[in-house]
Amino acid sequence: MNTDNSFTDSQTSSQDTVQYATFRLGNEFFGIEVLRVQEILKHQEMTPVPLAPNYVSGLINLRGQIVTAIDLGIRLMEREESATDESMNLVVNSNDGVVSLMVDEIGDVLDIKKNVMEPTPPTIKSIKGEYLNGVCKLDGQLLMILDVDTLLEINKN
Amino acid sequence: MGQREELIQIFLTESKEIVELLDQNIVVWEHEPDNTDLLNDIFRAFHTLKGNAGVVGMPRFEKIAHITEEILTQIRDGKRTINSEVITFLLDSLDQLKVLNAAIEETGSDQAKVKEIIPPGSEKTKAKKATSKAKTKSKAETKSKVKAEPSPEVGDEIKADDGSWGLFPENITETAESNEPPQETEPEPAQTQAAEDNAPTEATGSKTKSDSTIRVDVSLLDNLMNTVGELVLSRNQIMQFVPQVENANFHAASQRLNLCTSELQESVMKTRMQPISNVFNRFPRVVRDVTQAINKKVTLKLVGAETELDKTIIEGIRDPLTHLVRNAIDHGIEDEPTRVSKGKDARGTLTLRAYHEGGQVNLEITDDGSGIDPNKIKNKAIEKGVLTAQQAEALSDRDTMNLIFKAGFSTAAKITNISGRGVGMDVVKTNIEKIGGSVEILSAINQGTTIKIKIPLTLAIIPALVVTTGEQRFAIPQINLLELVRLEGENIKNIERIGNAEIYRLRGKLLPIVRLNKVLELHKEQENEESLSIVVLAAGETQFGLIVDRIHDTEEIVVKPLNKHLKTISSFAGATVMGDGKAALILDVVGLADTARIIMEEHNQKSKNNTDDDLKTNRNKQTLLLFSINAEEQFGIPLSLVSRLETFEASKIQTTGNREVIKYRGRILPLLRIENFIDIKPPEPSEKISIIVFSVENNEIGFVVREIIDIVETGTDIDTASLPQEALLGSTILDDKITLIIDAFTLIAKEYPEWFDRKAQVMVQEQAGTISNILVVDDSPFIRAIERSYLESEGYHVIEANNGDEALERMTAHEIDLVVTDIEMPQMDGLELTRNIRANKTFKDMPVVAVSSLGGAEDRERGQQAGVDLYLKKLDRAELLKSLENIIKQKLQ
Repeated sequence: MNTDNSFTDSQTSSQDTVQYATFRLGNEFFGIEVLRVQEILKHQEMTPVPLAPNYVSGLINLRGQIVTAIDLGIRLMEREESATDESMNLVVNSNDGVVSLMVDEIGDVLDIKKNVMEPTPPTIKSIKGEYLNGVCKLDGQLLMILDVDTLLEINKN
Repeated sequence: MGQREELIQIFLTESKEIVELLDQNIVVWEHEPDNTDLLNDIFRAFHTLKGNAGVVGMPRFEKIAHITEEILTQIRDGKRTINSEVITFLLDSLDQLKVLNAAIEETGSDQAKVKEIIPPGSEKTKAKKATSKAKTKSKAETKSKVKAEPSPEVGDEIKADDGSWGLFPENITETAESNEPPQETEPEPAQTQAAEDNAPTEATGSKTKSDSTIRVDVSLLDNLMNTVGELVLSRNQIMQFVPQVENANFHAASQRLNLCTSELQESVMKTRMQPISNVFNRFPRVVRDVTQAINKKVTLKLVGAETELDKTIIEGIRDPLTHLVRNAIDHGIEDEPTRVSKGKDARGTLTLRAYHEGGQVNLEITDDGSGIDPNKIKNKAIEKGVLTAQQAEALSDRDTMNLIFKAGFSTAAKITNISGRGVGMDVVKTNIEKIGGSVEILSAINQGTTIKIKIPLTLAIIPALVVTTGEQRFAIPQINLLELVRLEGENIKNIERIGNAEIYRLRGKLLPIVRLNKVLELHKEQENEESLSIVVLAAGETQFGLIVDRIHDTEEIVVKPLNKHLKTISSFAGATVMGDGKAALILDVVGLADTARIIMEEHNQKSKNNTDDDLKTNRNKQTLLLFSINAEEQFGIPLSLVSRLETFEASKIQTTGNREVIKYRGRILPLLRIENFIDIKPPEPSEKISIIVFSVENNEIGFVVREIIDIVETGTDIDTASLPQEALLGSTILDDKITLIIDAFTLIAKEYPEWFDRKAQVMVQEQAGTISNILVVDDSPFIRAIERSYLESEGYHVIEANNGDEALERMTAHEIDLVVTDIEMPQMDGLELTRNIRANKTFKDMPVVAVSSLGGAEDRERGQQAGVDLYLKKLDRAELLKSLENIIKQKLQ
């Protein structure tokens, strides 16, 4: 692996590395702290919620628990219509209970050294920078680290 | 440190429990002073408190408990008798212990400001002559509350004994009269009222101390409840598969699973159940405190304290109940002299009753006090602008009572009995509705008041009606459900539409219609155009019809909260998992009711505008109910006269004597056939009949007709001359058909003359020269004809005039006693006419009643300025007659 990007074996993860679960939305590559992820599910039957904000895909019955599904493509990138039957459910724990993030494709879990994190460059236009903690330059692409708690805050307007 | 904290926790739990139990026991003991078992219990309890406080190192707590224990020792040894002072002292000590408990809970130490407790009759009391405690007591209470042996003897006894605590009770009275400031003897800063106010007045937790019970964290129970909820859902899913599997073992197993799950669900629900005594038991103390403070005598009766309710609900009703109990004593039950003068028992009775009924718990708070005078409420409501005089008149006593719960109402200044009673009642109602309950007041003057509260047993698993709209399922809590209405075919047109507002008349009651697909913006047209399913719902006072595509079964659902992103949607109360494993939303009926209210407002606004427009263009529009009796003629009746419409099987008609009746809502509705009174072809027999119901005073009567055709608005170009038949008001042409307008009241008067109250007429005849000739002024002959029929049915003699000019002419030509006039008329309008009457020497005292469809406050004001005595709504028979009667009464006086 590319030493530049400081990949390490997950077994040896120490204090200065963090594990990220990665996923894709279109061409973009995102990471989320692995400890926040409860499980990953393929397409689930969804109950739409009328009058809900557009980024809410609906409700999922997760073993008897009602889980709100957030269409990350709409929330994060303002895509018109995003989640499909192919979308994956990234079920994460938040301050407000369990939430499912609808993403296009699930990637690997990566160990990333803390010191390679950089602030989100203002040049990223298609993505709402306020929902990112920062970025990591990986081999040929940018991994954008999601700030789950801010993402799930209710917009003031 | 950790160990000590743990110790303190244990100490707190136990001492709170003991203090709460003591609260109840001491009040009971006051009434049963000879109950030595109780004394021993109380004594032991204080002893335990003292011991525990010593172990955890709470010196102040220990000291209070110790002093109290000393007093109890004296009582036990017969050196002191129980009297009101002692009881108050004990309760005071308890209050201070509560303050300390709260302080310990917060800071881990008992270094809080507390009032010094001073034993009754102590040297300290004598020396300082006043204590904060004694100061609050009045002489009267001191005397009245002594229950045991006569005090002087006791005093002697104590004095003879050692005198360390002993003092004559008379001296206490003395100290009570003293006005010196309270004396603090502890080195701590002076006690503050705030500290006392913050004292927790309640403690939770079970009181059972037997070894067979264990303490369980509530969150554990909640967790268990959730898991069982899931199990119930899984069971439901499995039960759906059962018929598809042909395996006897599987069937047996699923049966067992079914049974066990139900039992488990029931048991887990029970673990959360607590007897309502947990709330009830605080009331003896509350009642004692309030009665002492305001010097009333009240006996509290608790009935059904063992009734069980979910813990969350118990917590939810605690405050509303306390408020209602205080109110009942403060404002409901009269003071002793008043009660005696009314011939009642000097001691008032307050009963708290709890019982199960139909899956709900009913709570009743009944006092035998002065009751609530609906007229006082009405006056108050008019004064506060909540109601107009007219609305108030029309309001039933029952509805009037419920005005007390209106928000604006309760802020009334404490002028009258009832205004005080209303303080905070809206909050009570809101709190009860929050836990899915409802509240209602029943009251009879001088007999007392009962407040009835209905609450669900539990909130976690509720029965709900499942409906679909736009291919999506929704659950509606059964508790909000009133009835289901299905409209088919032509009946769908019965939904009236004014602007965007839709209204359905359900048995004469206006029901705003909410279409679920529109409210939820589902952008799907109603699925089925041939029939409509209306779910009639109630949220507090608001009732409305919710149109859905389909109505399914009722199901037990487990209520789950929504994520914060969805909580702001007022239409949803939560979500649940259905039997097939899909999530479904639970509708928030309260939220939907807001939409309904808006519809109602829009409707009222629009119909008002319409009336205004009509008045400008063709202001004499009449709404007629069209019906048929046979195949030929079409008939009409002014809709404003009709109470409601019904349909029956013709076979249900029975005959008693010569009259036809029908059994209906447990009553007997007499029937009348129009064809018996006017010359038309009799109808051919049919299976179904429609009935138009009218009310006369307190009687109801149904006109049998073949079919209700329509409700139409029409100008009043009604010919009142060409068809001279007694039972007809006139005729008109609608849809190219001759329509005969029936004079309903004349018909009824012919059949049941005794229904028409002739009192007014008798009075008139007895007092010659009062009112018998009434001048009816209106430019519409039709309106005049209707008003004439009203008035003549009451025995008045009617003279008509077409406008103001004509009216003045008639007044000079005839002996007129009273004028009933329209406002909007050509040439001389009603206001001008009134001004003319007032300006005329002969007529200036003539009573003038204005009837108009212009019902706004401004119109009224203009009327009053012109000199109108009364301003009424047009064609309101009852109101008109009642007002005339009142005017006659005034004249007679």
